[in-house]
Amino acid sequence: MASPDTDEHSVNQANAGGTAAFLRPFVEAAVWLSIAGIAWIYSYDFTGKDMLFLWGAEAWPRVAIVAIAFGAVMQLILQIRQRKGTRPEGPEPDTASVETGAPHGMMTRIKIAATFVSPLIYLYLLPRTGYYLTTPFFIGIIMYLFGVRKLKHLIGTNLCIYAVLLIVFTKVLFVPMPTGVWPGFYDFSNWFLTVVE
Amino acid sequence: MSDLLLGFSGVFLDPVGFGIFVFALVGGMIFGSLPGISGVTLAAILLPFTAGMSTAHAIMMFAVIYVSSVYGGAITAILFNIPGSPNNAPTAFDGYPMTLKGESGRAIGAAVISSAIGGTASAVLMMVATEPIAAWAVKAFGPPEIFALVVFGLSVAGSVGAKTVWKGWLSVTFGLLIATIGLSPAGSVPRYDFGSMYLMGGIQFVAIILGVFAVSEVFVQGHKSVAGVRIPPKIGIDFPKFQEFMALKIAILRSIVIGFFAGILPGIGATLAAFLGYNEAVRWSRHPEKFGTGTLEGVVSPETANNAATGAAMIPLLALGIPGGALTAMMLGAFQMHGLDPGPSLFDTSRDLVWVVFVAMFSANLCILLLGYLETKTVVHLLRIPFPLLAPTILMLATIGAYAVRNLLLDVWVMYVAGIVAYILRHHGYSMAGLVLGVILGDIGEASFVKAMPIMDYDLARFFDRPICMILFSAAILSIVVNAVQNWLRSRRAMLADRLEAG
Repeated sequence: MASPDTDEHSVNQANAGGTAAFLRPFVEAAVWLSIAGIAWIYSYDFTGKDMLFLWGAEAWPRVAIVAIAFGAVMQLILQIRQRKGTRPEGPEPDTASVETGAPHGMMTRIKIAATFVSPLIYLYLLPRTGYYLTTPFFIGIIMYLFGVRKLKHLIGTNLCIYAVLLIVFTKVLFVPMPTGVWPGFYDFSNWFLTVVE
Repeated sequence: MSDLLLGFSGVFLDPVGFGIFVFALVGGMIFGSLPGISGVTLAAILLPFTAGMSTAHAIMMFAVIYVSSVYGGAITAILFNIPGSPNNAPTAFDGYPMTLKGESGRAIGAAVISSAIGGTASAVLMMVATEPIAAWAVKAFGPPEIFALVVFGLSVAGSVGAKTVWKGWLSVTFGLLIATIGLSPAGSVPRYDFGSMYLMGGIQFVAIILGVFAVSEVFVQGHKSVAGVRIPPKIGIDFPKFQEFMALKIAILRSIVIGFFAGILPGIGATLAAFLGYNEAVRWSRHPEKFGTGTLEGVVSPETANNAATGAAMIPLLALGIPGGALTAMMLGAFQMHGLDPGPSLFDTSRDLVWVVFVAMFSANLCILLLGYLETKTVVHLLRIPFPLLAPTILMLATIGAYAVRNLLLDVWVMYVAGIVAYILRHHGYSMAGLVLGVILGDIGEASFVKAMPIMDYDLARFFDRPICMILFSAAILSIVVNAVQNWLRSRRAMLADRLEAG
């Protein structure tokens, strides 16, 4: 039997979920209208600057902006109408829909957030510390976040992936990956490239 | 007939020619499957070496690379949701969902067969009618017609894979807005660059495509993996049945026609061909709602169309000296390196060369069928790699692929931002197919629009003076109306069903 605390928690969660569901169409419409509004304001930066096309460089983007605003309003009207008893039109969302099960605990949420943040940190570091030193750590972190715990994979498989990428893209295709600008890292990358070559 | 024999002897009886043919076939397939590193990259690497080859060998090599690289990108699109190039992006719309359903073998088999059919049909058409088709197409299709073609393509884009029609509309128009970042096509006015020189150069398709497909997929699967709800895809090595293909004969024929005509038009090529092929499959289907969920027709249509475009792209190059894309432009370069100018006189002065190229392209398409069959039985086993080991490989391939296009880290940032935005949009039922279509067609659409309007004295009504424009616009309007009515009826039926259940 559920405790009163659990019941109260469930009711609170249901209320919060209901409020979120109620607000969602308005939030979605607000996001789209904001994008349209900001894009429209910035379109004045290039208004009247096109000397070749009579309707100006702003004509095409503004058509797209108006179309976004129109779509956002229509979507909002549709979602409000749905609440009055009609079903959503059109097909179900594609495989794109993200079915991720029940609400997650704090640790899972932190891991999910880390999967989004770690590539951004990697990208921030890439021009500074260089591709050659940063990449094995990034590969290891991603593997760890997705559940790899065995050291042989975290080091061995990691280095295998790294070596294949290095051979294909650096040795064969000569893709000039960033070597880093921070003192020490740049020197390491150059030394490493000399060794590889 | 003698021309055909001449071509065959040039490819298969000459050991050097045959060696180059095999090298280009395998090389194109491998490079085509690497995101960001397309057949164009291989062609660019090899361009300096063509100076030491005969003209026929050089042009044949580029032509075979073109054919095999367009097919190669389908494999990674189907198995990992990473299109090797923009040409293969629509293949991922249904190919990857098929993989998730354990039908990877069927999807790859379908891609192999349809690529071979599309490419072979296009090569045959190229052999028999290069000169008249080139002359007609270049005269009949000016910027107004290309713009009308883009509008026609956009008219169905929103209905693919979105939860509602308006979410599809928003996905497409958002894509159109993204495509305006960078220099305007007419006066090169910087737009939405926020003072950044890199943004002034525009947003790269490849970065957007890798972000929307590969990165967002890693996030989605990663999310499921971390939450413990991920089900790994089953491995299927079954080839599609003959009857399944017979059922799709109309779709294949339609895609051949679409791909062929899109391929002839300069600057349009295989990418638009693939998207239009997919769009028309949706438009004409009795079950458009199944597209995006893993239907065989969704793989067959774009793959037939993009390969049909390869032979067609050679027509304006050989008959008129007009290259339609990067690879055909390199071929033009190779012609010039050898002191030849492609054009109508080429068929008189270098007939043997032309037929070696024709036969090489035809044979490359047949070889795809054989190699593809072997590939279907083998590459699907890559799916056995556990996701935690596959995910960093996909992310690294995508990172290097986005970076390698212009050697710019900004493109990698764009890719990751696109990946995060796509993850959120997918979560809310927006269409990734629509978004990518908006970006790709937006660019082509605006460029043709700004060229078309001065031709028509800035009078929009004059579009309707041009028969092809009128047909395409009317078809687009009809398509939107039919789609809207179908959706309205569907929603009304659902509402009545709800009332019956409640009552």
